[in-house]
Amino acid sequence: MDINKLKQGDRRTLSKTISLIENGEFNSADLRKIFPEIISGDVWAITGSPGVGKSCICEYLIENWLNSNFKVAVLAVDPSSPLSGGALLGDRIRINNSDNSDNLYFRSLATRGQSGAIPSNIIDIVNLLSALKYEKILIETVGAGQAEVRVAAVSQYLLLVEAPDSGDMLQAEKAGLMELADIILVNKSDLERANEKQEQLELALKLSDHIPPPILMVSAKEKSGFEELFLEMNKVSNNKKSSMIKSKISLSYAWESLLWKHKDIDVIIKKLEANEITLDDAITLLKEGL
Amino acid sequence: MDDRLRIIIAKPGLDGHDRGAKVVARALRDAGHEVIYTGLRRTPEEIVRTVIDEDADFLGLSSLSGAHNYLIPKIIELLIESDCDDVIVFAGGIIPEKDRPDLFSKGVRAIFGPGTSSVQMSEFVETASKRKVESLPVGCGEDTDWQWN
Repeated sequence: MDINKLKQGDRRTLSKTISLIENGEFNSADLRKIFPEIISGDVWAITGSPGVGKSCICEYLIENWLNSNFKVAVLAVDPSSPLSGGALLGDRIRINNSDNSDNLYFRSLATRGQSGAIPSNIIDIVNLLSALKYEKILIETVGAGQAEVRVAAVSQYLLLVEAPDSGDMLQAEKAGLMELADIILVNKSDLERANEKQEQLELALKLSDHIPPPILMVSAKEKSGFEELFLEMNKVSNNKKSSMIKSKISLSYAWESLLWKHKDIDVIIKKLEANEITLDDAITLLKEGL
Repeated sequence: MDDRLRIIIAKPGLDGHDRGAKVVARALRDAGHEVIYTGLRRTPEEIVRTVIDEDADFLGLSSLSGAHNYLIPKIIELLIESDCDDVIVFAGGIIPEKDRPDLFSKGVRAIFGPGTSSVQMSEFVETASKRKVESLPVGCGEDTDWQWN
């Protein structure tokens, strides 16, 4: 890796460095040797069930940021196949402006072997992009699942996208996503049942005891409601708050990536697989060594 | 496994047919690679930017519109200009036999027509990638006569 080229912001060197991070050959500690002071960009995550329109909304967010002359980076995460280890990364098809600006860096990432919906090294990638002065970093994550809560760990702000008839509310509540979201969007507001969805969401949020995030109606199809969304996003990012839940999740996330980097992890998993040890034994081995 | 490769499947120019490209993308995914499909009607500049951002090892270009003699060499030219001469380029779709020698000489390393099996395709990818590991020339801008038959 050519450090000078990286510092100058050469795109190919950036891409190669991200690959090194993905392969576990480069991390934030190495990065700090090159960039002692890293000022974090605004990191937004966008998540929601499959088909709610995350990609279309990303397209408008990107367009809006580029029009305001921000340097933008997008990390689009898709799952790896558990069988072949391969992945089909298709976000570029849906996000049409993904490849036509020098101010936009767009990278597709596969979840690879890790549990959870985002690759474990994404924090290091976010730090790298921040070091290279990307001001707006957008992480788009795969559809549904409780593991999505983890996106909150790396992002400063979370945008949760819902749509009319997008699966049952209980799922979102169980996942804890609703409590973490900074803004909830109901997309497809042009559809009849969108208002109903908004009411359901408001009701669900009323029942919990923290201050609910704003719920906004947008329609990606009719391109309506986005001005309000941009205003709200500015408000959110000017009002940096920390939350205990996010800190908890970040900690457990960092803990888990330590687990996968443990030197004996492969041996311990083999032993578990062969029924030679119990889970309790495994934990003891992890703590005390083989 | 870390013989996983990053492969871009792209559709350059005005060509609306992507069934083949999608089948290839799927087959290579099933062979254990990370495949990025660009979608339809990309310009050479957009494709090259995608190759750079995604840190691709391979670029597969699908063309059924007859514009391959212009678009494919143009993309290779831009790749070389952008320091991506080590990226391995292959092509597929409807590319007549008579046009192939010229494309090969410009840096395309394999051309797959209708009827190609997915096994053949992943064999090509593995063989070409092995050459790269052994530091033998195989990238689109590297000097070699090597090609896949």
